[in-house]
Amino acid sequence: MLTIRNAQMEVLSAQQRQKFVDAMCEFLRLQFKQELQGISQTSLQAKVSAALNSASRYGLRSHRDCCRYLNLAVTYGWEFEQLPENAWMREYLTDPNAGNPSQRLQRLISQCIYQMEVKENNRQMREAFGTVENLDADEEEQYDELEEDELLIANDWDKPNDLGQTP
Amino acid sequence: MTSTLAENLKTTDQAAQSQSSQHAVGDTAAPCPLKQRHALEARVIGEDDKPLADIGVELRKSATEKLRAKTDANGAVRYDGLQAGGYQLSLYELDQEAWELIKQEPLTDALAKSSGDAGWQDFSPPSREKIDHLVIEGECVTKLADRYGFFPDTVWDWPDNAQLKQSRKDMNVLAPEDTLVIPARRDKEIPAQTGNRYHLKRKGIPAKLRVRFLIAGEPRDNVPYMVSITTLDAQTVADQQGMTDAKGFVSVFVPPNASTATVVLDKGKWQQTYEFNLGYIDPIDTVRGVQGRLRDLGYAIENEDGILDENTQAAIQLFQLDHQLKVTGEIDQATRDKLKEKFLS
Repeated sequence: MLTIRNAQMEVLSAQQRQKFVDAMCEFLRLQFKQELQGISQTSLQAKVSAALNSASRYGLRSHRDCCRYLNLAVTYGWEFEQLPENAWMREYLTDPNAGNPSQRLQRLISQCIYQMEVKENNRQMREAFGTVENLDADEEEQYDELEEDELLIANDWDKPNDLGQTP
Repeated sequence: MTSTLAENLKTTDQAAQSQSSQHAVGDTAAPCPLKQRHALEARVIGEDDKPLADIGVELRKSATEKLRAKTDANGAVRYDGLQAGGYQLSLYELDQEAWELIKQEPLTDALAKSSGDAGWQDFSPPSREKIDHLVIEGECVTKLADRYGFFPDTVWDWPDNAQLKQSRKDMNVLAPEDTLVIPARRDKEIPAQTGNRYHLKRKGIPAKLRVRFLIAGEPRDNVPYMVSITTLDAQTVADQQGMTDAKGFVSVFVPPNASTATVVLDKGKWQQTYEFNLGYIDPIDTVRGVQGRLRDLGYAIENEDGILDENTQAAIQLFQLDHQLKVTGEIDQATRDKLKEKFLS
């Protein structure tokens, strides 16, 4: 019978981990060619290793979850969830009512992609619409026109139409 | 952030999915491949039929074995590691009238399969106590119903709110220090089987905002518009665009925590921008309520301070003159009625 002692298991585990760090470095270099161009291999290994420790603190332990977390780290910064502007990300990763760690990570990534897409779509829509910024220069003049036009604005929350008259 | 970044993250995330979800980093042993488990999914949409994020979903196996998750940006929740069979599904933070099952469908074979074991927990149920909510500025029934997990009509039609309803008339026009009774929340669950996806609808959320534009008494119909929404918690909200309808209305859905709506009307040299504070209009029987409506109708109100000063009286006189009312500068019933008619609330 083959007996493996704890010390041997730890060595094996450390080897497995280092193997994974190396595999992740390779994965990230493939996915983020430009972003990681200026980072040496030693530095990248250190950053990946530190990021995996962070991921572990959020209960992210599977190869898949760690890989997904690393994607976020390269996209938003190696300690992205520690930045004040990303406090919401930390909340997503620690919310006890948002499922297990994998579900929390899935929800965070989904939200990140959604926000990026909305911001970009908004930018494109505003540009196509003639951009609000372009109005600024003429704003005063336009408000003068508004008064001359005797514009009526009414608002409600889901009320039936009711044709009004000019004030 | 650019679409390139979004595309990058999507692509890299897809690539990450090829990694094992079972092997832990540093593990020296492989998980048992024979352990076949099952999955169940839920999708939550709102009144606009679009996905709703951050909705709490609970899957219950027994009184003490529950799984909780929150919907992602696609309104989706997935439970893995389940034994084949039946469970109870609920939007546990919502009242029974605030959501409904709209359809269910089988998952594909690939999606229905799962591995690992679900981590069942015993969560304590959310509070079900009746609350007397003291309204502060900017709150309305729609916002409060969302916050407490109700369908807005349930709260507004609750017998304990009959007197408030009688005095305020409009559920979205409450005054600071009004008391709105939030009923005790009632539970609802639906039976759910592994291998299925359940489509649920959150009722009454988001609410619809309608703003009407007239020029020289005629509707500004068929005019392009774009609406941008800001929220109290600065969340990113998609801009909406369209054309005003035959009666000059801009109609858009807004999240319940929306604080302002910026409407850009028309393109080119005729383009104009208007900003509206949402939920901040006081009842018509208050001076501030009259000032707010006059201001939004285009009359010059310097301060919305609730004081019937010379400036406010001048605006009232002009409004009365415009609508063939007796010009007094006072807020009489005929003036209130006309103002309400013109403002539509």
